[in-house]
Amino acid sequence: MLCKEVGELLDAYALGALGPEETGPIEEHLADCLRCWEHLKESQKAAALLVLAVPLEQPREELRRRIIAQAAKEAQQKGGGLERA
Amino acid sequence: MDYPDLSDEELMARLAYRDIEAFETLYERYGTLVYSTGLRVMGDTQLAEDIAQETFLRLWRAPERYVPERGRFGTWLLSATRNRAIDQVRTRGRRQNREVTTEGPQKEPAATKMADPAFIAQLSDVRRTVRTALQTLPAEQRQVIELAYYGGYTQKEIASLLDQPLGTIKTRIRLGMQKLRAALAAELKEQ
Repeated sequence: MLCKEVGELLDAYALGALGPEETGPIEEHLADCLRCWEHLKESQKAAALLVLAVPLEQPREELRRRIIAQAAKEAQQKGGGLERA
Repeated sequence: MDYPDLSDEELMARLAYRDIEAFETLYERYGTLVYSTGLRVMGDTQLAEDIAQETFLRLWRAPERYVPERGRFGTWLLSATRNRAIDQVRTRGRRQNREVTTEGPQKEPAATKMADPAFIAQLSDVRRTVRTALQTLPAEQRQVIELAYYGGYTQKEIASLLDQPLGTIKTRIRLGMQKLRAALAAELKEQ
Protein backbone atom coordinates (compact mmCIF):
# COMPACT_ATOMS: atom_id res chain seq x y z
CA MET A 1 0.00 0.00 0.00
CA LEU A 2 1.05 3.57 -0.61
CA CYS A 3 1.38 6.10 2.20
CA LYS A 4 -1.59 8.01 0.81
CA GLU A 5 -3.83 4.94 0.90
CA VAL A 6 -2.68 4.03 4.39
CA GLY A 7 -3.03 7.61 5.58
CA GLU A 8 -6.68 7.65 4.60
CA LEU A 9 -7.35 4.61 6.77
CA LEU A 10 -5.34 5.43 9.88
CA ASP A 11 -8.23 7.11 11.70
CA ALA A 12 -10.48 4.13 11.06
CA TYR A 13 -7.64 1.84 12.17
CA ALA A 14 -7.20 3.82 15.39
CA LEU A 15 -10.93 3.58 16.09
CA GLY A 16 -10.85 -0.18 15.51
CA ALA A 17 -13.19 0.24 12.53
CA LEU A 18 -11.30 -1.93 10.05
CA GLY A 19 -11.83 -5.60 9.42
CA PRO A 20 -8.92 -8.07 9.54
CA GLU A 21 -8.61 -8.07 5.74
CA GLU A 22 -7.82 -4.35 5.88
CA THR A 23 -5.59 -4.25 8.95
CA GLY A 24 -3.06 -6.78 7.63
CA PRO A 25 -1.76 -4.70 4.70
CA ILE A 26 -1.77 -1.55 6.85
CA GLU A 27 0.30 -3.20 9.55
CA GLU A 28 2.76 -4.44 6.96
CA HIS A 29 3.15 -0.88 5.71
CA LEU A 30 3.45 0.54 9.24
CA ALA A 31 6.26 -1.86 10.05
CA ASP A 32 8.41 -0.12 7.44
CA CYS A 33 7.13 3.45 7.42
CA LEU A 34 8.02 5.71 10.31
CA ARG A 35 6.05 8.63 8.89
CA CYS A 36 2.78 6.71 8.79
CA TRP A 37 3.58 5.26 12.21
CA GLU A 38 3.86 8.77 13.63
CA HIS A 39 0.53 9.71 12.04
CA LEU A 40 -1.05 6.61 13.53
CA LYS A 41 0.16 7.55 16.99
CA GLU A 42 -1.63 10.91 16.66
CA SER A 43 -4.82 9.17 15.56
CA GLN A 44 -4.55 6.68 18.41
CA LYS A 45 -4.04 9.41 20.99
CA ALA A 46 -7.16 11.23 19.78
CA ALA A 47 -9.17 8.00 19.71
CA ALA A 48 -8.02 7.11 23.23
CA LEU A 49 -9.35 10.41 24.57
CA LEU A 50 -12.84 9.46 23.39
CA VAL A 51 -13.10 7.06 26.28
CA LEU A 52 -13.28 10.08 28.60
CA ALA A 53 -16.54 11.20 26.99
CA VAL A 54 -18.68 8.39 28.39
CA PRO A 55 -21.59 9.46 30.60
CA LEU A 56 -20.82 8.68 34.24
CA GLU A 57 -22.84 6.08 36.07
CA GLN A 58 -22.15 5.18 39.67
CA PRO A 59 -21.50 1.44 40.19
CA ARG A 60 -23.04 -0.41 43.11
CA GLU A 61 -21.05 -0.41 46.35
CA GLU A 62 -21.23 -4.20 46.17
CA LEU A 63 -18.92 -4.13 43.13
CA ARG A 64 -16.25 -2.32 45.08
CA ARG A 65 -16.52 -4.74 48.00
CA ARG A 66 -16.30 -7.74 45.68
CA ILE A 67 -13.23 -6.47 43.82
CA ILE A 68 -11.30 -5.44 46.94
CA ALA A 69 -12.17 -8.69 48.74
CA GLN A 70 -10.99 -10.78 45.78
CA ALA A 71 -7.74 -8.80 45.50
CA ALA A 72 -7.06 -9.20 49.23
CA LYS A 73 -7.77 -12.91 49.01
CA GLU A 74 -5.38 -13.38 46.10
CA ALA A 75 -2.66 -11.42 47.90
CA GLN A 76 -3.00 -13.65 50.94
CA GLN A 77 -2.83 -16.78 48.82
CA LYS A 78 0.36 -15.52 47.24
CA GLY A 79 1.99 -15.07 50.60
CA GLY A 80 0.84 -11.61 51.49
CA GLY A 81 2.70 -8.40 51.12
CA LEU A 82 1.79 -4.90 52.20
CA GLU A 83 -1.69 -5.23 53.58
CA ARG A 84 -3.68 -2.36 55.00
CA ALA A 85 -1.96 -1.03 58.11
CA MET B 1 1.00 7.74 54.36
CA ASP B 2 -1.81 9.67 52.77
CA TYR B 3 -2.75 7.57 49.78
CA PRO B 4 -5.07 10.06 48.09
CA ASP B 5 -2.08 12.41 47.75
CA LEU B 6 -0.08 9.87 45.75
CA SER B 7 -0.02 10.06 41.96
CA ASP B 8 -1.45 7.26 39.87
CA GLU B 9 2.06 6.18 38.99
CA GLU B 10 3.13 6.08 42.64
CA LEU B 11 0.09 4.00 43.50
CA MET B 12 0.85 1.65 40.62
CA ALA B 13 4.41 1.24 41.87
CA ARG B 14 3.00 0.17 45.23
CA LEU B 15 0.78 -2.41 43.57
CA ALA B 16 3.92 -4.36 42.74
CA TYR B 17 4.28 -4.86 46.51
CA ARG B 18 0.67 -6.05 46.86
CA ASP B 19 -0.37 -2.86 48.64
CA ILE B 20 -4.14 -3.29 48.97
CA GLU B 21 -4.69 0.30 50.08
CA ALA B 22 -3.01 1.61 46.94
CA PHE B 23 -5.34 -0.65 44.97
CA GLU B 24 -8.37 0.68 46.84
CA THR B 25 -7.28 4.23 46.13
CA LEU B 26 -7.04 3.49 42.42
CA TYR B 27 -10.53 2.02 42.58
CA GLU B 28 -11.75 5.19 44.31
CA ARG B 29 -10.33 7.22 41.46
CA TYR B 30 -11.30 5.12 38.50
CA GLY B 31 -14.05 2.74 39.60
CA THR B 32 -16.84 4.95 38.30
CA LEU B 33 -15.08 5.69 35.01
CA VAL B 34 -14.15 2.07 34.39
CA TYR B 35 -17.68 0.89 35.16
CA SER B 36 -19.20 3.68 33.04
CA THR B 37 -16.95 2.75 30.13
CA GLY B 38 -18.05 -0.88 30.37
CA LEU B 39 -21.68 0.20 30.57
CA ARG B 40 -21.39 2.49 27.54
CA VAL B 41 -20.02 -0.34 25.42
CA MET B 42 -21.95 -3.31 26.83
CA GLY B 43 -25.25 -1.55 27.56
CA ASP B 44 -25.88 -3.86 30.51
CA THR B 45 -25.13 -3.22 34.18
CA GLN B 46 -24.21 -6.83 35.00
CA LEU B 47 -21.82 -7.10 32.07
CA ALA B 48 -20.37 -3.69 32.94
CA GLU B 49 -19.69 -4.93 36.47
CA ASP B 50 -17.98 -8.01 35.08
CA ILE B 51 -15.77 -5.87 32.86
CA ALA B 52 -14.90 -3.56 35.74
CA GLN B 53 -14.04 -6.49 38.00
CA GLU B 54 -11.88 -8.11 35.33
CA THR B 55 -10.13 -4.82 34.59
CA PHE B 56 -9.23 -4.08 38.19
CA LEU B 57 -8.19 -7.61 39.04
CA ARG B 58 -5.93 -7.76 35.99
CA LEU B 59 -4.37 -4.54 37.24
CA TRP B 60 -3.86 -6.10 40.66
CA ARG B 61 -2.41 -9.31 39.26
CA ALA B 62 -0.05 -7.72 36.74
CA PRO B 63 0.57 -4.02 37.42
CA GLU B 64 3.70 -4.20 35.25
CA ARG B 65 1.42 -4.15 32.19
CA TYR B 66 1.25 -0.39 32.64
CA VAL B 67 4.32 1.34 31.23
CA PRO B 68 4.35 5.02 32.31
CA GLU B 69 6.44 6.08 29.31
CA ARG B 70 3.58 5.15 26.99
CA GLY B 71 1.11 7.63 28.39
CA ARG B 72 -1.10 8.60 31.27
CA PHE B 73 -2.37 5.89 33.54
CA GLY B 74 -6.02 6.95 33.38
CA THR B 75 -6.24 6.97 29.60
CA TRP B 76 -4.43 3.64 29.46
CA LEU B 77 -6.72 2.00 32.02
CA LEU B 78 -9.90 3.27 30.38
CA SER B 79 -8.72 2.35 26.88
CA ALA B 80 -7.93 -1.14 28.15
CA THR B 81 -11.43 -1.31 29.63
CA ARG B 82 -13.00 -0.21 26.38
CA ASN B 83 -10.94 -2.66 24.34
CA ARG B 84 -11.85 -5.55 26.64
CA ALA B 85 -15.54 -4.62 26.46
CA ILE B 86 -15.43 -4.39 22.66
CA ASP B 87 -13.74 -7.81 22.47
CA GLN B 88 -16.51 -9.29 24.58
CA VAL B 89 -19.24 -7.62 22.55
CA ARG B 90 -17.72 -9.05 19.37
CA THR B 91 -17.32 -12.48 20.91
CA ARG B 92 -20.81 -12.58 22.32
CA GLY B 93 -22.42 -11.17 19.19
CA ARG B 94 -24.70 -9.09 21.34
CA ARG B 95 -24.98 -6.26 18.93
CA GLN B 96 -28.64 -6.72 18.17
CA ASN B 97 -29.45 -5.83 21.75
CA ARG B 98 -27.50 -2.61 21.85
CA GLU B 99 -28.39 0.85 20.81
CA VAL B 100 -27.18 1.92 17.40
CA THR B 101 -28.27 5.53 17.48
CA THR B 102 -26.10 8.28 18.84
CA GLU B 103 -26.99 9.92 22.08
CA GLY B 104 -28.09 13.47 22.51
CA PRO B 105 -26.13 15.84 24.72
CA GLN B 106 -24.77 13.87 27.61
CA LYS B 107 -25.33 14.99 31.15
CA GLU B 108 -23.72 14.02 34.40
CA PRO B 109 -25.87 12.24 36.97
CA ALA B 110 -27.22 14.92 39.28
CA ALA B 111 -26.14 13.36 42.54
CA THR B 112 -23.18 11.28 41.50
CA LYS B 113 -21.27 10.28 44.60
CA MET B 114 -17.62 10.54 43.70
CA ALA B 115 -15.20 8.94 46.08
CA ASP B 116 -12.41 11.40 45.33
CA PRO B 117 -13.94 14.76 44.42
CA ALA B 118 -10.63 16.59 43.96
CA PHE B 119 -9.35 14.04 41.52
CA ILE B 120 -12.60 13.87 39.58
CA ALA B 121 -12.72 17.67 39.41
CA GLN B 122 -9.26 17.69 37.86
CA LEU B 123 -10.25 15.03 35.37
CA SER B 124 -13.60 16.62 34.64
CA ASP B 125 -11.96 19.50 32.76
CA VAL B 126 -10.45 17.06 30.31
CA ARG B 127 -13.72 15.14 30.11
CA ARG B 128 -15.64 18.33 29.38
CA THR B 129 -13.23 19.26 26.60
CA VAL B 130 -13.51 15.85 24.96
CA ARG B 131 -17.29 15.75 25.23
CA THR B 132 -17.63 19.25 23.85
CA ALA B 133 -15.33 18.36 20.96
CA LEU B 134 -17.45 15.31 20.20
CA GLN B 135 -20.74 17.15 20.51
CA THR B 136 -19.71 19.96 18.22
CA LEU B 137 -19.02 17.54 15.36
CA PRO B 138 -21.69 17.35 12.66
CA ALA B 139 -24.18 14.69 13.83
CA GLU B 140 -23.39 12.25 11.03
CA GLN B 141 -19.66 12.38 11.78
CA ARG B 142 -20.21 11.96 15.49
CA GLN B 143 -22.52 9.03 14.84
CA VAL B 144 -20.00 7.00 12.84
CA ILE B 145 -17.18 7.71 15.30
CA GLU B 146 -19.36 6.62 18.23
CA LEU B 147 -20.52 3.50 16.44
CA ALA B 148 -16.92 2.56 15.74
CA TYR B 149 -15.37 3.47 19.07
CA TYR B 150 -18.09 2.59 21.56
CA GLY B 151 -19.95 0.06 19.44
CA GLY B 152 -17.04 -1.87 17.97
CA TYR B 153 -18.47 -1.72 14.46
CA THR B 154 -16.24 -1.72 11.41
CA GLN B 155 -16.77 0.95 8.78
CA LYS B 156 -18.26 -1.69 6.47
CA GLU B 157 -20.74 -2.70 9.15
CA ILE B 158 -21.60 0.93 9.77
CA ALA B 159 -22.23 1.46 6.06
CA SER B 160 -24.60 -1.47 6.07
CA LEU B 161 -26.25 -0.43 9.33
CA LEU B 162 -26.89 3.11 8.14
CA ASP B 163 -27.56 2.08 4.54
CA GLN B 164 -24.91 4.46 3.24
CA PRO B 165 -22.10 3.93 0.72
CA LEU B 166 -18.84 2.77 2.31
CA GLY B 167 -17.04 5.78 0.80
CA THR B 168 -19.40 8.11 2.66
CA ILE B 169 -18.67 6.39 5.97
CA LYS B 170 -14.93 6.51 5.36
CA THR B 171 -15.14 10.23 4.64
CA ARG B 172 -17.22 10.90 7.76
CA ILE B 173 -14.72 9.06 9.94
CA ARG B 174 -11.78 10.90 8.43
CA LEU B 175 -13.33 14.37 8.60
CA GLY B 176 -14.71 13.77 12.08
CA MET B 177 -11.36 12.60 13.41
CA GLN B 178 -9.56 15.52 11.76
CA LYS B 179 -11.87 17.93 13.59
CA LEU B 180 -11.46 16.05 16.85
CA ARG B 181 -7.68 16.21 16.60
CA ALA B 182 -7.87 19.95 16.00
CA ALA B 183 -10.28 20.51 18.89
CA LEU B 184 -8.22 18.36 21.24
CA ALA B 185 -4.79 19.60 20.17
CA ALA B 186 -3.96 20.99 23.60
CA GLU B 187 -5.01 17.78 25.36
CA LEU B 188 -3.11 15.64 22.88
CA LYS B 189 0.12 17.42 23.74
CA GLU B 190 -0.39 16.40 27.37
CA GLN B 191 -0.94 12.73 26.58
